[in-house]
Amino acid sequence: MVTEPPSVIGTPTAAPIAEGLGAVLDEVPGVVLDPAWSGSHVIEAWREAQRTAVPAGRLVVAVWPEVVSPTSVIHLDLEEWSARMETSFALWFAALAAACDRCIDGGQVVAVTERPEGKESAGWSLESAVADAVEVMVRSLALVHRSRRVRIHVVSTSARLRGRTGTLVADVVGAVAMLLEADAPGVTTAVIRVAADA
Amino acid sequence: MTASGAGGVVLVTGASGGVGRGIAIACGAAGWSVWVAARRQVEGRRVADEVTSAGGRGTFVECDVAEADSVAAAVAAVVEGEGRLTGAVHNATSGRSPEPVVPSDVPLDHLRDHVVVSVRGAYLLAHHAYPHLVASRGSLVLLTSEAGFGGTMRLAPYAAVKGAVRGLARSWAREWGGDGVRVNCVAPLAESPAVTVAMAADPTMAERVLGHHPMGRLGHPVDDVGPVVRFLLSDEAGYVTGMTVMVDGGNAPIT
Repeated sequence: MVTEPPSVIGTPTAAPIAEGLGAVLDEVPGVVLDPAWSGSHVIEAWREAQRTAVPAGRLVVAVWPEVVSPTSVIHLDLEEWSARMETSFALWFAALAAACDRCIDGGQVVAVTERPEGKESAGWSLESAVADAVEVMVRSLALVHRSRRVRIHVVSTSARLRGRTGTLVADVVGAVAMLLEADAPGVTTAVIRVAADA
Repeated sequence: MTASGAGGVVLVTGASGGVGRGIAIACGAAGWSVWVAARRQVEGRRVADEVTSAGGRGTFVECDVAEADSVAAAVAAVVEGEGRLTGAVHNATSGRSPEPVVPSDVPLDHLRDHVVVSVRGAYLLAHHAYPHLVASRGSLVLLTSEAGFGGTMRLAPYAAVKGAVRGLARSWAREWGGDGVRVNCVAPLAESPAVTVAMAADPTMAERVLGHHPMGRLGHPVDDVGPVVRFLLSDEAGYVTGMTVMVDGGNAPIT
């Protein structure tokens, strides 16, 4: 367990993770984008507010939408696509970029994503796409902030998608703590997949 | 050459130039019917003519990949004109792809443009092409990028959407394999207008991209990239699905 709580940015669904880390959740906007992204000004306003937020040495980002049943895109209309995939993408992009800006020199950021298990990804294409996008965002941001020695990692879990949430909080908190506490200044863009067997 | 045993009938988005043009012409060289889907009519019709000159049958169809009705109409036009669709390729990317950005400063409307062209465009094409690809036991190819693996310092939105596309392809491959539909990605490193713009905007890019390149050159859209996409669209790749094929001259440190 980390001794000083990190700052946690995320959706209300990630509150148990913040609680497990002993932190207060800084919520991302509860916006749902339509195909025109007419609600994007809400994200823009939140991002502006983040520019004056208190800097932190360790930040955790967890944008977790409500879990739905596996859905093929064949049965998905554009409204639902935008509400689920595009909203998650936009919130992740804004939240991760803001977290990295808030992170002090030499600090760390951990993105906690939800990724379906590889062989069970049928019907989870939106979640797979967001998870892959977040890993790439992390790698880009690690390059952007490398000169400030900011390190950025990923912890991913399939627990909620598989309905196996028994040890979710402990598993994720443990993985995040391991990354944040490690005395390993040369390690960045590490990706840790947390098992979801319980 | 295709899953149907006859000549291929393929739709290629973003085919009015660059890599999309290369794919269209390479498919035309195999005698296929290629529908050049793009917003730019003049350039699109020119590529359609090039497809025909290469030995295929080129047809331009106006298409905005971010608009559901436009994609639906483009797919419907192919099926109405040809009676079938054996392959679909999503190559279109945002015109903002080569713009260097600071991630926390990217205007949301710019981010939206990246997302709706690359990711929503893939969804819309898949959504509307799927029943026709099932009927032909066909193939879907999505264009990604080396940036979609490793990220980039200056093109974070572009890299992120290219990563998202890979996630879509892997899931769809598992979802649709039982229906006989294959889904793959291709990650090219090739000459294109976007690369030219990006290199002009960032003088260090050429050295970063080619400084350690095993072959010391960018790929050619028609000769290097097009044939690989054509292979994935053909029944010769009938047991290949869920993959990202790097067509980058060995540049990406990924095996």
